[in-house]
Amino acid sequence: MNIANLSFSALPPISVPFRYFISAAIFLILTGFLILFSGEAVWLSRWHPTMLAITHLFTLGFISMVMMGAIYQFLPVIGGVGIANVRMVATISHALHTIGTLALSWSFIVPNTVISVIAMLTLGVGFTLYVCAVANVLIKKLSQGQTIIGMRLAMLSLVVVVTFGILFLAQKNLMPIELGAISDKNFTDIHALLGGFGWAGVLILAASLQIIPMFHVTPSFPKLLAKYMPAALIALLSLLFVFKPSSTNGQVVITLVLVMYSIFNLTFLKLFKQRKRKVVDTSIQFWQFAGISFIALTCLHFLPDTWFLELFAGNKALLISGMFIYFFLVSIIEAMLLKITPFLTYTHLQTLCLSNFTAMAHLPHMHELLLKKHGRWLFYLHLCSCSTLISTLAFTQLYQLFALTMLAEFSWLLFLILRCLHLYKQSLAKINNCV
Amino acid sequence: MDIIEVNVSALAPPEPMQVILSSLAALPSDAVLKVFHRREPFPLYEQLIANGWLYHSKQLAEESFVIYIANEKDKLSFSDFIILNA
Repeated sequence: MNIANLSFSALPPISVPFRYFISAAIFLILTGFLILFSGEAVWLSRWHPTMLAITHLFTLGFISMVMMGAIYQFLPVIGGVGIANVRMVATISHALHTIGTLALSWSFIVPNTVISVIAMLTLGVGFTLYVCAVANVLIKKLSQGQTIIGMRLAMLSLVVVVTFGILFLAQKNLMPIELGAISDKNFTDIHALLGGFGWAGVLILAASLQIIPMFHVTPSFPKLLAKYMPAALIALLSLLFVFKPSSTNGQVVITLVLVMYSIFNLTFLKLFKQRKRKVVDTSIQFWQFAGISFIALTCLHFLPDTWFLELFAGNKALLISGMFIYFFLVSIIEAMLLKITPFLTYTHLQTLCLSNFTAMAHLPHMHELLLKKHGRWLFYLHLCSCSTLISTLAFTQLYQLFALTMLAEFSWLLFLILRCLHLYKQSLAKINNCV
Repeated sequence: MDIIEVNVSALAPPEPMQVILSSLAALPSDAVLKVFHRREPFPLYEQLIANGWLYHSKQLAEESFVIYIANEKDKLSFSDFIILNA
């Protein structure tokens, strides 16, 4: 009987993941305001300082923020081992991550050495603490091997991405440090590619090996894909240190990465088709939208640069990276949030009922925590903001329309998360009275 | 011990936990709940122990687990049951 030697920690307090989710929505509301007041010129190049700030608000402020928050919860559920001193780790790393992201974005728009150094220190220390805490769990022998291996590879990518980011900041602000080759734009591309396809992409891939079959009751992913794709992707991305992204060989590597991710997307689209219970689920619509968008952006990648001259002012890189972040990553993050926000809330309440079954009468229905129609509205708002983003990339004068639809979408997301938390507190009070 | 069986393998979260909770609430004394699950419900284990329940889990196949749960009051008969049946 397994009554002793429990090696795992309890689920973290609900405040741990929720502080990350709430901050993530707030970051994109801030981003919406930034876009609204930044003017049209921002949309002409991905190297525009404000565009760099916007990109990092998306990647650090939203995508990484949600994924980091979800990992706290994911590890004990999937691997059976939680992060030690989780409350302390979350409080410190979340605070440093928030300050660092704000400071970094600020330093892009208004270059300032002090603010840049604050960004360097807070992001450096914050990520170090977080990565060490997660690595301390990931080095253990855990169940669900393929997912855990994928998470290890994603964390490894994160370490490289953050190290590059810190070096870029150091070089920019702490002259006379001479970092030689690092100033090459190719390293900025590696930083971006590893961040998008290594850290975010491989983590999503690894998590989806568990999340899609578990939450949507689909067949499992094919064994070959689950076993080899995360490692193959990281191996391919590592080749970019040998073949510069701008070189012909580098472009071949990037194309292979896109093709591999397209296979992953086609696979999960097929799994959703094979569900036994085909109930309408907005979370699945987000996944499907993300999958189809990724395949579309891969097709766009194959089109010659001249094709983009008339429609997108030749800005192929901005179009593809914008689609990757907003149509693919943000859609999947929202798909996950729609599932895990009510699920986490419900699970925390449910476990309290084990000590007194009469308290089950006070459990809300999980769908009350996040109403299906509210989820649908989020999806419609996302479709609106995606179409205004594409319009803005084609006709930059439409940027305010994108900002407004984005503000509507992420204000709504924030409302949904806060509503869920409010209902949790109400139900918790009733259950505690009963227990 | 009497065995009450539930199969939650094809259910989406949080339904497995709902079924397990309802079954435990109705579990007669000196009975064991036998749960067929697609994965190991790790967070449940800790809560079971904390709330006076015993469990024993066994992997049957790659995505097939069986979890036996009994009340702590029936510890001796549960131990015998596990030795004989699991």
